[in-house]
Amino acid sequence: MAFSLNEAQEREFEDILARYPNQMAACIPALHFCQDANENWVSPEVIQFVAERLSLPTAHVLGVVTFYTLFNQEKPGKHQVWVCRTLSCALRGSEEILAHCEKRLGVHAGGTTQNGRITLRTAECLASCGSAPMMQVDKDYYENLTIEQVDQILDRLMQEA
Amino acid sequence: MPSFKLDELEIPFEPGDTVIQAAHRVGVDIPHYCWHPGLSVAANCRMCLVEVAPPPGRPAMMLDVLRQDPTTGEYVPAKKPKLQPACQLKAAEGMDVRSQSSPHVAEARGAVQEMLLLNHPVDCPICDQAGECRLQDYWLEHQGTRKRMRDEVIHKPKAQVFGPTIVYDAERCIICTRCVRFCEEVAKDPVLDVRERGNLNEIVVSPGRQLDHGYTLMTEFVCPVGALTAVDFRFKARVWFLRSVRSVCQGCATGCNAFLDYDPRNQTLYRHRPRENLQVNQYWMCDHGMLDYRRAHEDRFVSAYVGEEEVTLEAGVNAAASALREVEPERLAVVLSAQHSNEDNFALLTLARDYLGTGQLFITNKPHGEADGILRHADKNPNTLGVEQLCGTTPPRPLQDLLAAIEAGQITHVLALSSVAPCEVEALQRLKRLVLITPFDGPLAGYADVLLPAATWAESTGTFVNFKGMAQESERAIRPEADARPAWKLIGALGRALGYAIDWQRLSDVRLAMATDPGAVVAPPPSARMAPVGAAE
Ligand code: SF4
Ligand code: SF4
Ligand code: FES
Ligand code: FES
Repeated sequence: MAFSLNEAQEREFEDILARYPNQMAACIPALHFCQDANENWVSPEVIQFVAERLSLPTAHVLGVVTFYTLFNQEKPGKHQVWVCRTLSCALRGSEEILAHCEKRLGVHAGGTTQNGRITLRTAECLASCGSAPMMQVDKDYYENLTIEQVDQILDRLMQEA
Repeated sequence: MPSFKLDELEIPFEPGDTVIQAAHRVGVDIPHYCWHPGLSVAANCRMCLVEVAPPPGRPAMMLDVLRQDPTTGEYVPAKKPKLQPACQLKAAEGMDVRSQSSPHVAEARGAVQEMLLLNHPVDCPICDQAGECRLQDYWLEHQGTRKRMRDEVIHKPKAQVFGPTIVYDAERCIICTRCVRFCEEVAKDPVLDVRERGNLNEIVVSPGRQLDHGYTLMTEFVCPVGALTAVDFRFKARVWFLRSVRSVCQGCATGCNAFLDYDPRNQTLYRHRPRENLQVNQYWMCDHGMLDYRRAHEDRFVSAYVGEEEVTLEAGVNAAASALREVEPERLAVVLSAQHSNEDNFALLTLARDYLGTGQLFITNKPHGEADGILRHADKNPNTLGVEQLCGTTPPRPLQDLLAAIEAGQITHVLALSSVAPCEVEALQRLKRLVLITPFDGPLAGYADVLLPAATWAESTGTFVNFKGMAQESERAIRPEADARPAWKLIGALGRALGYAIDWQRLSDVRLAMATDPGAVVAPPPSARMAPVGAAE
């Protein structure tokens, strides 16, 4: 199915393009925007859409999408959880947090829960070392985590409507 | 001209040159993979690293590194200067560049080689590129050590079909992006790109597309390793058994300079690939031209025919002579060919004008097609201009005029070179006699009363004048098959059978005769450097 933007999204998309000196420079922000508008993943249709709108070779856009891990080439769960595991967080217990998440959700890092609600991932330093351990849920940071807090967050994500 | 020093050599350069470019121009090779003289600079392979001495009186910028002690296997602190890629480094007056003479450069090249081969399958025995692969050449020259990595290698897709002409092996690919840049910059169709990163990198064809533009075989040709292979050449030959001649492509009036690769043992052609000529084709050829060599073995006549009957060459020549002997000169037309060399056409023109005494001169050619704004010319004949120049002030008339004259009953006999035609030729059936000298089957062949088998361009040396007026020599690769002979030779034999004193035994005899005719151009010997198989860029 072809990908398209609604009227409000179109305006925002155009606004993004207008901020860059040339269209190639707008490729990454344009892809992020479309990923958000497409249930968090960059489908082949999104690649086609961005290539056409930015007058870039389709192969080039595919190259960008596959280069950066923040572009999802497959549809993730409704929410994405990144557990930071770099030094500061590791020293403050990120390994336990990750193990706990994996157990709770029944998936390994990289996997998506059976009900399709959560995709669990690991991340390298998310620049919140002073409040380690931490994790990112969609676009929000959750810091100074304890296992109890993690449970609360996961419960909410699993249950919310 | 300004110059810089490369090892002990003084290298002149033009403003704007990079170090590698200036060196390449004077024939000095700095090892490289990703750089290509006809493409933009990517500087991604790092094989061309050189050391540049600091300006006089200034210390070299040294970096702290760890170097493995080969005896203990331990890494110990060491220093090395910051090296620079010669493909990106602009040449400057008086620069002191060290390539072969720097131990740091030698070490860096060895390291680059080791890295490029980390995940390489080393399947050279079944790789078409073997024998002309830079990984092989440079391993011996610049590495010579075993790799230290003990991990399992990364596996990637093999034998991926990129399109009708090209197959890709991701494990052999060094991601130099030459193929990507070629498609974008020369073929003007950015259908390839790089996906993933690091050791997962691979070349990918645009989603929904195939690698199917008019220059796909050039991607294989610019690939410095065996990652891209041509369907046409895959598993057909080992390159070290092939020999090359300097040919001129017969596909159109551009006259691209080429190497024609053949196996002398079985007298078979295997490849047509570009030969650098900055005035004509730069470094490139189109797919049509690169595959056109196959035609030399297809749809051939390799013996003489009288009617449907296969006869000896001698009988054929005699039959041709008696067919022509019976006609008044004004009823006889002679057809020159834009498909044949100046030498062949000169021979025919001499026979027509000086001996047969006919002024009824025509020219035949393949129909025109499309030009592509890159190399391909709309005139699909290699020597249109050459024939026109030969005829001087009385240019040959188009074949259509001949057909009209035949319809009008003015012409009853025709002696023609080549079987091609730009139009329908049914009118030929009204002829009393058609004597045809041709290597190939074609529209005219069906009407021939006597047919003499000519050698193809691959079987004879000749001059072709491209649309720019450049006379270029194409060298003979293989021996003429069976009874086929160069057309000029057959024409000479025909003349002698008619009782004329024509004595052309060798090509040089024809060329000597041509020297007295200002319109008859003979190409100077090919100018481009002779590169053995594999040594082209
Ligand atoms: S396929 Fe060949 S030319 Fe293309 S990036 Fe790989 S090694 Fe370079
Ligand atoms: S452009 Fe013409 S001369 Fe050049 S390779 Fe193609 S067909 Fe041959
Ligand atoms: S190490 Fe986790 S935020 Fe920096
Ligand atoms: S040739 Fe590849 S970096 Fe210079």
